[in-house]
Amino acid sequence: MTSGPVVFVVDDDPAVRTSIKFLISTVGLRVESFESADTFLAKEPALDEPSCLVLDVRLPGLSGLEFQRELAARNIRIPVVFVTGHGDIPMSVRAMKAGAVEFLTKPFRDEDLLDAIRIALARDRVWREKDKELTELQQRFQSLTPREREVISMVVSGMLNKQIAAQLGTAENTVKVHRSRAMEKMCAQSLADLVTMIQKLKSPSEKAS
Amino acid sequence: MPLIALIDGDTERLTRYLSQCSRTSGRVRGRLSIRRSNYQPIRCKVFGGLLREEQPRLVWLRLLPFNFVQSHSATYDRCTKAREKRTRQQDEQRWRTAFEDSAIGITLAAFSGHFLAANSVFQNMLGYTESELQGLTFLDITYEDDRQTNLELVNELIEGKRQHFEIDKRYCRKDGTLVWARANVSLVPGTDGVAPFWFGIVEDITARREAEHALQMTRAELARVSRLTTLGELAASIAHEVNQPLTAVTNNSNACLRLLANGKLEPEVLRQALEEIVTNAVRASAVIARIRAFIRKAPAEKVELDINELIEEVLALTGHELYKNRVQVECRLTKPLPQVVGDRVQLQQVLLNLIVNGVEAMSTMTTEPRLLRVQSQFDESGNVLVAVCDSGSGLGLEVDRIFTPFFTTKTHGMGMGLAISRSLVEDHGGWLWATPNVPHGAVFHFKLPIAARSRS
Repeated sequence: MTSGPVVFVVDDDPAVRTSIKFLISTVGLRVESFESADTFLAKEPALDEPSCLVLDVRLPGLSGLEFQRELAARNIRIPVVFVTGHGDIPMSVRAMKAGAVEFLTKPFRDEDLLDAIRIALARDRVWREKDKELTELQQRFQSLTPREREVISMVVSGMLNKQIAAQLGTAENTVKVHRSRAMEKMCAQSLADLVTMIQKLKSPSEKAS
Repeated sequence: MPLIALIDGDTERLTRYLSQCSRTSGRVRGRLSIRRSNYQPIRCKVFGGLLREEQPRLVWLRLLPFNFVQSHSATYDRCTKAREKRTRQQDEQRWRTAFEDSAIGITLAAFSGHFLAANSVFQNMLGYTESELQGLTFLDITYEDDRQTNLELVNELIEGKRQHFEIDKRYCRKDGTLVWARANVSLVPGTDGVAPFWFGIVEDITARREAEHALQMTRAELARVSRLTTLGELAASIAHEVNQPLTAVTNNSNACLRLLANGKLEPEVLRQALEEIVTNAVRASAVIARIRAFIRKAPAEKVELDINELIEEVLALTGHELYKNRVQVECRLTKPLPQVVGDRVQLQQVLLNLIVNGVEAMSTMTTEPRLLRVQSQFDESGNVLVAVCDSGSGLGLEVDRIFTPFFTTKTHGMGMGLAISRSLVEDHGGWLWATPNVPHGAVFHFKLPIAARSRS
């Protein structure tokens, strides 16, 4: 099992760590475990495949919640499932606000952990697809000439060909040619399609939502 | 001056009287003239008799001036006799009253231990009448468990090792109930005609004993309540300690069930999982056993124990609390450490109080590191020393008041922790005190005597 989704488990209690690893392995997922946030960060595991973190709140050194912040600061995007020996409400609220998938109190039901991992991996997959889509869009956009980009930004803002031609001081036919070539390069089936694409390109930050 | 030198004139007569006295057992009567210091002779009546027959013989002579005898003799005799009798009666009455009306039990017993006399307080204390007591010895009415000690003290008195003794003992009342008493006993040596006897002053201390016992119970209960309070504060920590192994148990079991359902459970995998399950179940039960021991309502039980073990157990119990407050723990334990005699729970309570206090003292600190150092060592004079040092803001001017009950600097403290800790340590023959830490913070020390066996 060298490929496929990976679950990273970070827990300082060896017995708990091993048992979580064992439990996750029964559903055929790859598991890598770490005893602290620092050892995880030091090893910088490759995140090529869909992955998620199962993270104990109480850790030596960086706590689970601090680790979550540190990952964000380092631009490492990975869904987190928190587990804790005792969870209080403020702690879980903070974790969830920071984007945690689930906050489980030990001892948890196996389905709860595995479901949370499934959701986390699915979320990571979606992120990865969106990323891929965006990268493609960006590549397509990059292939446009400056004039084509100018034209389609006006198209997207709702201007008619005639208006665009007037503003650019060219013939309406020339605008039409630019427009159709841009649509072709962007692989847009319709104007609506194009609008959506441009929207996605404009707000890449939404990709993480 | 010999008697003969006082005789005026006929000295022959004195010699005759004396030889008469010593010869016969009968009385001698006669007359003699005595020379006074101013040489005025006084004529006296003489009475005499034999006092002791064995050698050396003793005789007695009584001289009464004639004129005195003539004029006053009869009245004198009557008055004197009456007065002496009255005095004797008054004396006796006084003693009798003191004996009878005393607020304290008084008793006389023969050398054999049989009661001779007992005042009403003593009779009421035991529910026996004086005549009933006269048929009993003091041992008969002494509670079985106290007899040995009582006898040993009695023997020491007889051997002259002590003048008197005091004993707190239980008497069995006639109705079978027990009464606690403090008896102060002395042995009155025999004189001519009077055999030696025991003199006892006995005070009923049952009420005092009961009050002391009640106080002790209250103190124990207070310590227990304080323990429960501290444990309540540590609830999260304890939950964590129990939940960790339970998580391992559930995960291992669930994983096995999943593999079993898929027909993929290999014996080796199952064996490993079961071993993990057993280990962690034992771990969880150990935590629960510690808590149970801590909250149980049992009298103090002093055994020989290793303070290091207690320190490690309490640190395990407070692990999460320390973690939550970002406290680093540094253990400087001297190993091996001589054993001390003490109640496990009570000494753990002391350690727990000191550690929790240290953590709380540092919880408001903005600067780090928050360092809690726990040390154990022993000294030449036979004490085990434990120190809990924090790097908090220190005790400041409150240092003298911190051991006072209900004194607290915390917003939610009862103010009993240190007062109880000190009384628990003192109850173990030790001492608990505080000093400032360098550069800041406080150190709480306590010392406990090393167990006699570890000393050698």
